[in-house]
Amino acid sequence: MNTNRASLWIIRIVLILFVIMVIYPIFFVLLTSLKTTSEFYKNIWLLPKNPAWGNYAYAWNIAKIGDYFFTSVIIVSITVAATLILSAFAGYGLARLNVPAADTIVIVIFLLSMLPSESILMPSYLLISKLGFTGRYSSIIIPYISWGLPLSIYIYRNFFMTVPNEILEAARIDGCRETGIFLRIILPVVRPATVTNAIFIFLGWWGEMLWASVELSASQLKTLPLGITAFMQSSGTDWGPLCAASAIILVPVIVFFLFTQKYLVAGLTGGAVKG
Amino acid sequence: MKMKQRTMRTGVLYLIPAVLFVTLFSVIPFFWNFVLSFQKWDGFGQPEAAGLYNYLSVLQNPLSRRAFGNSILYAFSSTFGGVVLGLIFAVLILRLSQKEGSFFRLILYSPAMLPTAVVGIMFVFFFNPEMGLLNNFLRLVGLGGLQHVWLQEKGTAMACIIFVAIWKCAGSVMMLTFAALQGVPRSLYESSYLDGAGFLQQMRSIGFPLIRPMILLATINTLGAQFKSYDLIFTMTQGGPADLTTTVPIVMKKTAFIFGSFGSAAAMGVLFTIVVAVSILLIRRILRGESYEY
Repeated sequence: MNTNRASLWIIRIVLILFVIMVIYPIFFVLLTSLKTTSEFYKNIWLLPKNPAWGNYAYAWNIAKIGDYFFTSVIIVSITVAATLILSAFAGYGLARLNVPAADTIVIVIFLLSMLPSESILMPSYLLISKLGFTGRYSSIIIPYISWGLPLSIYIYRNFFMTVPNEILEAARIDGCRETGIFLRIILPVVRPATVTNAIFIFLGWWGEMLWASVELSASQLKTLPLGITAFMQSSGTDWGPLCAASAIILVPVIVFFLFTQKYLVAGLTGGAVKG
Repeated sequence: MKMKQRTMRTGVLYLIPAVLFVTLFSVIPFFWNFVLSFQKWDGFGQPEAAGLYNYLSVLQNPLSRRAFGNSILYAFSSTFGGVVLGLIFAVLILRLSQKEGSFFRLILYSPAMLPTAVVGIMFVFFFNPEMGLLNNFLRLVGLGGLQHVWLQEKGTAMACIIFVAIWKCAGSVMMLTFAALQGVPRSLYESSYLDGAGFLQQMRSIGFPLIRPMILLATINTLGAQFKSYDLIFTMTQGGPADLTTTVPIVMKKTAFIFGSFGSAAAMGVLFTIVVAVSILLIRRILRGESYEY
């Protein structure tokens, strides 16, 4: 594009200011997580003199963030795996296997993916207690799977539509079974869709609070976001351990983001553009 | 023909497990909620038919009216801010080289990845009156007079929450619109450049109209997401001060689980769904227009 040097620098400076606004609050949490409370009050801005790793130990053991962390890891990993498997099969069926009324089903699924959770919150709570799941892992995992499926099916279906039918037909003529074709030939082609879906599902549920707070309010079981908000409310001014607890929930997200970001653009736009 | 039937059977088999989950926890609850909204029920005894009682009580209750008002205010203003800021990011980055641009996109997108609850907690630190970053920064640059108890004051609490929501949602708008802007052929801009159009004019008369469908999509996605206000508001203010920043999910939870009025909470859910649907249709109408092939 036609841009002269001066305006290029103005753009850079504006963007860098925005970058600081984005990065600094995150950086601040990581920084403060390594300061003792007294050091924090003396020096807010600078790096900690001696990293106070004790904050992490305190958050992890005494505030039980460690327990909540494992609870969340179990819940979210089962949810991600189950949602991916179910939605990949469903999306493929809808895209390529002559399911009757597929277009109508796709529209219904799309609408369901827009459904606000407020509209199904109470009955879901009643359903869970009728099924006797209250207070168990399944009371969180099964609804999470169900609620994530529509969007994930929709994204998979759009990607499967872009896989040329010739590949499928060639494989069928060679005598492959349908499931074999799907697992060995088609699924590897839509890896960006799998990664995108995994990202959305992971991020969507890793920090989820509304359902968890409704369902687990009277339970020993707590997910990480619930544990951290409870910790925040009980220890108002203990900045160091509180920031350490926040960092514990942030670090997996940052790591996950850095590993998957190259797929993200393709996935975000691929699934969205071909709607 | 036989082939078609066989693949159909496989397809239906592939679909059934997912459909079961979705039916059990989305479709059935959706209709159940509708039924509940016409009943009076405390969660324990027998539900009684209540006609429109729940709807009337929701509409007459000042707290739930405020919750609806706040939900709409929050969703629309953060969507507006997010779309404008996201478009600004996209346009600025478009002028940089590929490599530089991808660095900025990565960073500016990152807030969209963070769990909302943690973003809320981060900004509780940010807005904290004594030790928070914002007040400390104001003191540092000699603007101490502008300090506020940001999240506890009437005039600032909601504005701060909306600011954070924009901070979080601009990145995904940028990603979508940037990809669309990149797809516009350079030659289209170049001809208008030769006609003497500046960069902003090029965007206004060529870039934005051509990517209008993507702007619409990004706006609708954002709006849908911004109606989910629970995590952010609950972590930042719990709906306070004095219920000023309360939104539908917060009041709904209270109505059902503290006041034991499941019917009214269900009616709120139904009304909320209608509000979301109407808002999305409204935005579609406003932003709809010709789309151009290029």
